[in-house]
Amino acid sequence: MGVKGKITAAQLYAVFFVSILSSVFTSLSSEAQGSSSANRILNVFPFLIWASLAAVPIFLIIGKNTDQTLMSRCETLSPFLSKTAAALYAAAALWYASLGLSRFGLFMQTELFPNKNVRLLILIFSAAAAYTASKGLETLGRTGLLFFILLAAGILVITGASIKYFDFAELPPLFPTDIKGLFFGGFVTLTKSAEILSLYVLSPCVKNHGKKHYAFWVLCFSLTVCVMFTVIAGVTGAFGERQTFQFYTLTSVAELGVLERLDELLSGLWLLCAFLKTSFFIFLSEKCLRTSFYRTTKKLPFFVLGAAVFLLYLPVSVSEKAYKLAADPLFNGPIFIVLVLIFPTVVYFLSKRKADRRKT
Amino acid sequence: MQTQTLSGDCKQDAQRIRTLFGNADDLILKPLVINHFNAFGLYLDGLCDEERIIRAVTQPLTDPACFSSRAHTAKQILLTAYKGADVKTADTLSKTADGILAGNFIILLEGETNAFLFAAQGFPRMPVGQAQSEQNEFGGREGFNDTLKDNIALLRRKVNTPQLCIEQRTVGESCRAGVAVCYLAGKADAEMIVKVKKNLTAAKMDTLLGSGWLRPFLNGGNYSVFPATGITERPDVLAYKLSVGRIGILVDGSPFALIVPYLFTDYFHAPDDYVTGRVYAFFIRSLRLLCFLIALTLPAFFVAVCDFHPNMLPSEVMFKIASAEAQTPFPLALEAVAIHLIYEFVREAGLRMPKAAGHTVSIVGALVIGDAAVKAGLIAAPMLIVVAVTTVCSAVVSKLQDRLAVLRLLLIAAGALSGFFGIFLGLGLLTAEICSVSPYGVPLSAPLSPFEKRAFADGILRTGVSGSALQKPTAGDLKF
Repeated sequence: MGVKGKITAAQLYAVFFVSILSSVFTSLSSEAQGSSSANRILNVFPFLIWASLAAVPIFLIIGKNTDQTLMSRCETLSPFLSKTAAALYAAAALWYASLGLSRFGLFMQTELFPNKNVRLLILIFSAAAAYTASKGLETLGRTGLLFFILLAAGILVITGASIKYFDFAELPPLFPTDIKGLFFGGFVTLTKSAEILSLYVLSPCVKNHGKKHYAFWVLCFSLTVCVMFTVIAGVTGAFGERQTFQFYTLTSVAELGVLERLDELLSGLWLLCAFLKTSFFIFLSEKCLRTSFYRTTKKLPFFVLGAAVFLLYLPVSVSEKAYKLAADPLFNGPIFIVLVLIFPTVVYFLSKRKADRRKT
Repeated sequence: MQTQTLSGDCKQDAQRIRTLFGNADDLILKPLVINHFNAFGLYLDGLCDEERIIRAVTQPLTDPACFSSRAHTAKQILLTAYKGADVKTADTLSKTADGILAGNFIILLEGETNAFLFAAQGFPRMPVGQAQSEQNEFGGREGFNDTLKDNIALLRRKVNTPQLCIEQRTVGESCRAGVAVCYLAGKADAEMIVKVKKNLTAAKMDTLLGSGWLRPFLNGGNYSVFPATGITERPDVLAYKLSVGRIGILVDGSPFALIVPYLFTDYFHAPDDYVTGRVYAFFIRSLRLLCFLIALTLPAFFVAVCDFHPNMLPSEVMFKIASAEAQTPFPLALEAVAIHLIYEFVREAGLRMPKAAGHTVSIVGALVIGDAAVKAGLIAAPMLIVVAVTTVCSAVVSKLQDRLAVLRLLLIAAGALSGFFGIFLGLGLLTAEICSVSPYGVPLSAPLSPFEKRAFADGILRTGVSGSALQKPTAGDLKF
């Protein structure tokens, strides 16, 4: 018998995979803070360490049975804290949604519709994402799994179609020259994986969720990123490093029979990923607010949040510079550390201490 | 009226029934004498087989040799005198009226407060013929007809096990129809059965003239593009679906059975899949899925590629398309929409017109669209090729043809306005829409998402036939 409102761990991590991969591959080369191709490939190793570190407070908070949320832990300390946390995480989800949307908007503005105003399209996009979010977690989970299959097929096709241009001579020497930069790069990749925030809220909605699922996802994701950046480096070489969207450059090189340019198709695939990402964050934001502030089952809050994402997108998308400022790891990094590591850890220990005191 | 009981005065009761029917001329009242008792026989002219009434009911019942004592009249009518199989009783006026409407021959016996209903249906009915909407090459040919009893019999012949449960009820007010809920005990999920029955009970409708009328109620208030109920005209298809835990709904007056729950992958199945080899079955299923995608997106992609993304195709191909399009006065999107609308006109005309005239429409359509429009330079040949391919592909997935027609036009509009952006956004929304449907706890997108290994093996790849019925997951296994 199915449980309404629940998804499987595979569905959740498929959503993560699609959503995060869209951020990583659509990230501007300038966002990498001047790191080399070699660092981008090797980034996955420190990413593994960072992701493991991030998992510690997550699994402490959600407990052995993964039936706890951060808000429920906060509730044991103080109802006000629970409401504050809900508002904080809802706002963060909106911020990450708008960042993803801005990145996608910038991509549209630069590559798809140069010299055209894409705001109306982004508004339609936000409304569509809000509508999808209103369909619920089950819909998002199922859609995520289908998009994952599509994305995997797309990556395979693009890799296969560009592999004939792969040249080992173009690969940078894989020696980590800048260890600090390497770790920072891994951390930047982790901050782009803001979807893991949702584990603090959605864990009770995931069936049979466990650490092994998280570990498997981190490994698969790292491997994919590593392979793709290797292919990008091997195919586009130094030329690729100068491009705004490296993955897009790779697909413009790829050829498949009569289809001479796969970049146009890839933009469609990216759209699907960005669509899922925006929907997921809108859903997450609404979920945070619903548990603490209201109980309505109406769809209006989703559309209000969709509008909020669009409004946040507007100032960020004014220019590439504005986006870079908003997406700066020096700004987003501390927010991420507070939301994923510090705040949950503090809440966990305080709630544990309170529980221990009650026992004694 | 529902609670008005019969008085036992057969003349008075007969008159009350007559009044209830508005003194209808086709309500026949026959005064009878059964074992010295006065009685009235009632039936609707045309709904009963008069010969059968005389042979099996009136003749034996009016034969004094059949009755030994006045005291046992009622019992004897039921158990000894009547030679037919089906006798029911009705104690109220409304039940008696329903019995008459169902084609029964009614006997009102003096002193009896129950009316006796003798099954003597003899209304004109369609013979069992070949399924028109679901052709197959190697399987059976039988299709359902318009009569519920015949359809139940056809199903019973396929599912010859006592586990086949058939529960009948009546739905509707003015135009009522018998509805039969069919399922295999032990295979169908109990919760689903309850939900289907609940939905049927909640189906408050004035008119029920076919199974399609029930679909909105069985979709569980879901207004998705793709419904959660399937439809079939073939008893073998329904039998197979029942064997994997689905529930069938047959409606009197309709040759189409409804199937709940229905999966999106079911649209790409055909009875022949289990007759041909597994590899070929998988190939042909994939082909059907590809046809669906082509029928849905090809015109939109064509418009988007030509208007927004010309770099995608080799320059020689693009040049040929561009030179052909340059000859026409209309924008590409308008051309695409217009030609699809014309196609829909022709299709609709072909469906609604008398068969003899249908060919004329096809010829005129082919000549006007296919030849004259291109020669006149109104429509470019590449667009015509695209529409032709789309049409052929949509015919492959005929059950989705109506939905494809609308979605295709929407995607053409999206592609014309914003290229791949619009198309992919539309497809994203459509995917989410498909994934959101699950009124019986079984998602329309199963077994792909959520993934169910055994169901995937049969629903997508097609497992072997030997022993597969025992291994196949039922609809209940797909509940997530």
